[in-house]
Amino acid sequence: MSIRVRRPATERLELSQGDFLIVKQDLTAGEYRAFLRAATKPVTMGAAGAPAAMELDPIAAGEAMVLAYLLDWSFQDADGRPLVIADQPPAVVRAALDHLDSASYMEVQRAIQAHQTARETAIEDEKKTASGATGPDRTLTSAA
Amino acid sequence: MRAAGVLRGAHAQVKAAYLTAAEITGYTLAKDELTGAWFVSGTVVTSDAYLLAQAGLLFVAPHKGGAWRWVIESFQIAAPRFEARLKALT
Repeated sequence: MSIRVRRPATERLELSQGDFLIVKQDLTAGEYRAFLRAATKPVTMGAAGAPAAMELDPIAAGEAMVLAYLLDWSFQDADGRPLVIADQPPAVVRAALDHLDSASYMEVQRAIQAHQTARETAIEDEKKTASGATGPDRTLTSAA
Repeated sequence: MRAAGVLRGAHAQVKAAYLTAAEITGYTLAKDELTGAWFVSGTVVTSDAYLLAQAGLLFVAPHKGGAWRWVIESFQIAAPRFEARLKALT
């Protein structure tokens, strides 16, 4: 038997000019499905025996990945005030992302992509360890 | 309860860490003048039964410059009604 639910954890990703992002360490299955839903178009099943194809929209996929992971950042607006996204509705976060300069947006997306890749590697490494055990502190504690 | 004042908002969330356990709309916050306790009620739009069973839930009400966050002491949902007793702001 093994623990299959991870305790929510965050990571800080350093950017240029002293800025940083706060991101989710990992996505839950529900968040991952929502990310895939936003990044892909519905699959059209071909005739029997025909290969099914999935269309990936690379622009939408990049934005979906950023929205799935991003929790907070150190960015400021044009007047030097904090550009608040923490605990804000998704529409507010999306609007803030849309108003970044394009180079900054790409820096955010690249940083989160690198984080996702690093986590996939780390999780694979965890599975390969001899114990394979995950400590009980990594589950959400039930209130019941 | 003798309310010292009320605060109304359009959208808030119940959170387990950063995960959204429930989305609440049309909420009303009231502070009991005698006990100092905060109470909130609103309408549940979405909820996650697993996360709502976790300890340490927060009621998070975003505002323009950030968000107010209260620890939820107890709550009940009689869909679509959400009611909770809150501890101090965090």
